[in-house]
Amino acid sequence: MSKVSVTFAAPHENHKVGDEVRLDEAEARHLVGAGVACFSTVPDAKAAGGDPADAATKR
Amino acid sequence: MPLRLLPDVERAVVQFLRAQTDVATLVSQRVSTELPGSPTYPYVTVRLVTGAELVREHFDAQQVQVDCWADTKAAAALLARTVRAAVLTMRDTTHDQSVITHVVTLTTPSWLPDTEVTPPRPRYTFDVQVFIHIKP
Repeated sequence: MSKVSVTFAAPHENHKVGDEVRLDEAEARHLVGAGVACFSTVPDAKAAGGDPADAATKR
Repeated sequence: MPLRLLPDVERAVVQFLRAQTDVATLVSQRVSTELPGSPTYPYVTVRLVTGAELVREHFDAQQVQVDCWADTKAAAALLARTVRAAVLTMRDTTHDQSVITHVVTLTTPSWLPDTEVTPPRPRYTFDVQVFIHIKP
């Protein structure tokens, strides 16, 4: 399973708001779906089957 | 390609505060980004001070200054504590154009009477950081 980047939008476990991490797609989708994180880029959102509207535009 | 407009944090905070019963009890709907020319007190102003982009064209951390004006120091203090408590409940809320994921206090309410008028107008001020992104 490929990795994608997410940016935390709320404190979660040991992460602060704004922390960017690379995660497995499934975990990334879970966190974004829960509103805890945003995909960091549109390509990462697409890779995880997420909504590009919930990610930044392509860097 | 359409432009991606980042949310207006002042608008989100003003609309939210106007909808809070505890705030409306003290100021009715007198919450805006600027004092009107001849304001009726108490009054709350909400101003975007600065911010930082956390995810390009999507997710920002915005610093918002809230000023709470009233006829007496005690009333201004109560208003500031009430508004601060209300603003902190904006965490994990969805608005017409935005999602606010987190809110933290940067400075607690401080006594800052408005000395531009005579006598000085009682006022407390505080700052919060609002984490906000475009509504998907």
